[in-house]
Order: sequence, then structure tokens, then C-alpha cells
Amino acid sequence: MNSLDTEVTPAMKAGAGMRFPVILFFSSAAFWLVFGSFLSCLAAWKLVVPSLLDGTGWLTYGRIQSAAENALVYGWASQAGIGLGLWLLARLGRTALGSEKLLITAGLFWNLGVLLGVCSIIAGAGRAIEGLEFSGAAAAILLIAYACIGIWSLILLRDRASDGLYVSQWYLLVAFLCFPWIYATANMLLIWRPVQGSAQGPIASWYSGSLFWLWLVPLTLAGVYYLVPHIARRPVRAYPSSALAFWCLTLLGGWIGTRQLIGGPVPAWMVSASVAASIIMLIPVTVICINTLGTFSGRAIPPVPEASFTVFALVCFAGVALQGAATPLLSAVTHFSDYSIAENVLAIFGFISMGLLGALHYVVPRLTGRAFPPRDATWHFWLSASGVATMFLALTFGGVIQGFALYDPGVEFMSSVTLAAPFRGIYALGTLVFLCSCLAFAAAFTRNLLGGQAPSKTPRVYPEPSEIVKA
Amino acid sequence: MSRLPPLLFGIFLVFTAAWFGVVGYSYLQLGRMEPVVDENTGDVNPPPLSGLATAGQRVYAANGCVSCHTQQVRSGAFSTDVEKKLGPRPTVARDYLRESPAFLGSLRIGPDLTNVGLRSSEVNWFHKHLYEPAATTPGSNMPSYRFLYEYRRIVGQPSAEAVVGLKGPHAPRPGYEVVPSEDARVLVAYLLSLKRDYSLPEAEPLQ
Repeated sequence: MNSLDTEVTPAMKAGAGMRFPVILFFSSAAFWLVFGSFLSCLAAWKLVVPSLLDGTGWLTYGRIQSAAENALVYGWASQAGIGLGLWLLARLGRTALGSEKLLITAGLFWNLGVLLGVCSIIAGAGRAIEGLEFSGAAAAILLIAYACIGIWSLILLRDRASDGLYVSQWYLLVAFLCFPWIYATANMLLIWRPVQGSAQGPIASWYSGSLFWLWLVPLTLAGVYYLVPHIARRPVRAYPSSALAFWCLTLLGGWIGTRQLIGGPVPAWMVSASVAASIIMLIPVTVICINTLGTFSGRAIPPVPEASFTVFALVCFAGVALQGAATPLLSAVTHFSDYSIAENVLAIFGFISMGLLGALHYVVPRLTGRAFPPRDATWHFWLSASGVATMFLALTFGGVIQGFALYDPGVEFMSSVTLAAPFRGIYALGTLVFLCSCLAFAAAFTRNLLGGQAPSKTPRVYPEPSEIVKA
Repeated sequence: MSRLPPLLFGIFLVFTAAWFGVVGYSYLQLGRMEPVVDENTGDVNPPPLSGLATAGQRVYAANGCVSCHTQQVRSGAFSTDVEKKLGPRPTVARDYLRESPAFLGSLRIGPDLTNVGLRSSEVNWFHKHLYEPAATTPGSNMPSYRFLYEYRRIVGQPSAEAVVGLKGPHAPRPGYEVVPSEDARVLVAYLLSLKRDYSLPEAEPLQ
């Protein structure tokens, strides 16, 4: 074993101080993951069997589907990312975290906001703007809760005891700075004091693009850049190029969203700019894949769950970028078809969720001192990977076929429904498999928290990536 | 990139570019569009929404109709929306002036509704469709919106508003009737109002 692994560094103490807030964020994220996957599974089945649980307002497809998406984004992905981000900032900066109470209160408030938001959608008070369906009050609570988290993360960065800033810290800085800006702008202009309808389309699509590329992606990438050198036990490959990727991604992130309005009621330059940004985005994503996947090249990937999750997530990340760049080629057929849902599956489940789950598999044992049993972790990986793959492939194939039916002027609309139906059935099976994987994870996670698992054999102290980079 | 201030400044600069470009432009330009008066007819376009239709917008939003239905007729070389008779012309930003929120949508799990008011003006058909979609459109995977209707025993005279010609498993038994609630009535008023057949200077209907 590498001597660095057993050397006790001050970073360890920092991690210990972060325990309760991070565990709070992770456990509530796990709850919303199960909840959101359950609702998205229910919605998928309702599309296949429309009479399933119909006739009740709060169980109608439109509300369940929006509630599922929002629970997954704000309840699961954002909270797992926030927990991970705080842990990384303390670890990398070797700062002991003060004010635990502030973060715990903020975490509770954030959950209150998500709960209120989900209830508002189910009760029929949702706002019908993609990603912004929460009622105005719920959004305000989320922002207030976020203020504490965001300010604390900046304090953590400023008061760091280590020299320099590692790439994970850059990405966390982008995420923690951009989120309040994006979320407040969108809520101000679309929910609290809506602008005229003619301007809402581009603002809403800017929001959904920015939320992904400037909030969820940087949070996940921060985890990936931290995990990869730890798993591979070597420095990140071509580390200096990660700065290029970082600036490219941050610059382009805000421009990506409007491509979903291709052909729509917006000025043509907005769509062109967004398509151009999607194509240029291949550069940073390629560099990121070389930095991360390239680090593993030439040697076997270690048989730890976080490695499988991370590699799977990165392959999906490359897929997301390729799909984005292919928009001008495919959009005539794929726009508005189930293929668009497949794109979301690849982005939100394939990259963000799998990446964050990998990080959780790594961080949780180091917080509790107890390892996940390897067999549970393997099951969890294969169930979630096959769930994501099934959902993605079914919707991609079904979406292309449905897309041709939607495109061809000689084909009736109902044919597109009939043609897509079998693929939606397979998709619904995929959501069920993914739900099982979430339940398996939640069970293992709960047992780990309650102390039902064997103590971790690996030492809880690890060298930081900055040290590995220098090594 | 080992110091915080330059990093903060760089992120700020880069983020602001897109923020001004997309949000600022939309807010300042698209957000200040005004309706136009047709010189020949004196009509104001897009036409103002009735109070019922405005209330119907809220029911449309509350039930997530936008999850499955778009409201945009796309333009451009690669779109066949006009050929598919989704509308007499592509929609433009000004069409959404009075919508809040603008239900552009991103999926066509169900058909586009931009011009649904042009396709049918029969109120009873809309009620029948919302109450039991598969009965009016065989093979439809739209859920039933029965919860917007009152299923009740006929007392005295049948209601003049009762939905007629209902078929399917939830059709009223003899002596019962299905009456639209306030929400169902305003929702249908909103759907009937969806007509983009007027001309705008930037978008003339194709003949």
C-alpha cells in the first residue's frame, strides 16, 4: 500500500467536523432519490396504462411527472451535490467546519422548500415551467436556505489552510456562485413577477440549460475530479489542460439551453448561438474525459463501486455532449419526440445521478467509518446501470421511430402514439429497475448509518488529490 | 489558478456574458413587444383573452398539460409543422404576448394544441374527450380528467350543461348525469380560444 494512505494528515480532522451536515444532506438526498424515482416510475407506467390510478387530480400524469423531475433535481441531485461540495471544500482546504448548526438549519429549510414545492405541484398549484414548477413560496424558501449554504461554502474556500486551488474547487466555486444567480433570475422573471409571455420561452430554456451545465454538472465534476486520482492512485492525466476545459465549460454553459426552442418563436440567432455552443462543448468534454478516463488508461480499473459508477457516469457525460452537438443533424426528426426524454435520462440519471452515487459510495464509508458490503454495492451498481441503459435505449429507438411519424406529413398523429407505445413499455420497465436500485441503495445506506455494517478496513485518511498531483 | 480573486472575477465575467445575451435580450426586446392593430379589420392581434380563457390557462398549468402538449408551430427548412396542418403559419414570439406562462412545451406525447380551437368548436366534444379520452380518440394514451366533472343523480330536469353522448366504462348510468365543474368549463373555454390564424406583420398566414 502506498505510504501516503496511512499517513495522518490534518485533512482527516476537517472531514470529521463536517460529518453531521454532510450526513443530513446525503440522507435527505437519498430519500428524495427514492421518492422521485418512485414517482417517475409511476408516471412512466401511467403513460403505458392510462387508466392506472386515474380519475384523481393529484395523481394525474402531468402533476406526477413534474413532481418526479423536481424532486430528483432539487431533492436528490442538488442536495447530494451540496453535501459532496461541502465535504470536498473542507477536505481539500483542510478547514475545520465551524457553525454546524447553521448548515443543519439550512439543510432542514432546503428540505422544507422541496417538500412544499412537491406538494404544491401535486395539489395543482404548480407553475408549468420546466424545472420551475415549484410554487413561488417554495422557491423563496429554497433560496433562503441556499443563502446560508452558499455563503458558508465561500467562507470555507477563503479560510482554507492549504495552498492553491484544485480543479474540484474551481468547479465548486462555479456551482455555488451561479446557482443563486440562475435560480433567482428565473424565479424573478418567470414566477414572482412574470415577464410578458413572448420573453418567457427563451428565459425558461436558458434556465434549464444553465441549471444543468452550471449547477449540476460542476457539482458532479468536482466529485469526479476528486475521486479519479484517489481510485487510480496516480495524478490526473494532462492536469494543466483541465483549466482549459473548465473555462470553456463555464463560458458555454449559459448558452446551451435555447437549442430546445429550435424552429420555435425566438430570434434565430439564439438557437444558432446555442447550437454553436453545443458543438464547441465537445472540446471541454473531450478534455475532461482525457483527464479522468485517461487516468485509468493502461491499467485495470480497481474493483471498487465508486470506480464503476464514475466510469459509467463519464461515458454518459461524453454521450450527453455528443447528443448536444448532433442537435442540428437530428432535430428535424428527434425534436419533441421521446428521444428528448432519452437525452434527459442520459444527462440526469446517466451522468449526474450515477456520478453522485459514485461519490456517495466513496464518501459515506469515510464519514461513518463503516464500509458498504461489496455485494450490496455491486448489486446497486448493476441494477442502476441496467435501469439507466434500458430507459435510455428504449426511448432513443422509440423516439426516432415516433419522430419519423411526427415528421412525415402523410402520417396521422395517432400512428406516432401507436409506434412509440411498445418502447414506452420497455422504458417503464427500466424505471422499475432503477427504482429497485434506489431502494437497494437506500437500504444499504440506512444500515450503514445505523451501524449495521462492518467497520471499514480501509483507513479513513487519504492523501488529497493536490498531493497526488505533485507526487 | 491558485488564487481566489482572479477566479471569482473570471467566473463572474463569463457568466454575465450569457446572462446578458439571453436573459437581458429577452427581457429588453421580447418582453416589450406590443400587440398590433390590423389596418383592414381594426382587430388587435393577438386578440385579448376572455376572463374564462385566462382562468382556463391556470387549469391547464395546474394539471401539467404542457408535459405532453406543445403549443408552437415551428418554422424553418427542417420543420413540417405547417405541412402537417398544425396551423396556417409558424408561431412567432408576439403570439405569446398574453400567455402567462407561455406553454411552449418540449414533447409531443399528445398532439400540438396551438390551433386546437380551429380544429373543433364543439364544446361538448372537448368535454367528452377530457372525461374519457379513449372514447373519442381510440388508442389515446391521455389520462381521463374525470376529476374535473361532477357525476350526479338527475334531480328534476337534467342539467342543460350535462355532457351528452358519453361512452365507455365511466359513462353515466340511467338517471345520472355528468356535469362539468367550473374548472372544466374554463379549461374548454381556454382550449377553444387557441387560434393563431390572424396575421402579424412578421407572420402572415400561408394561403
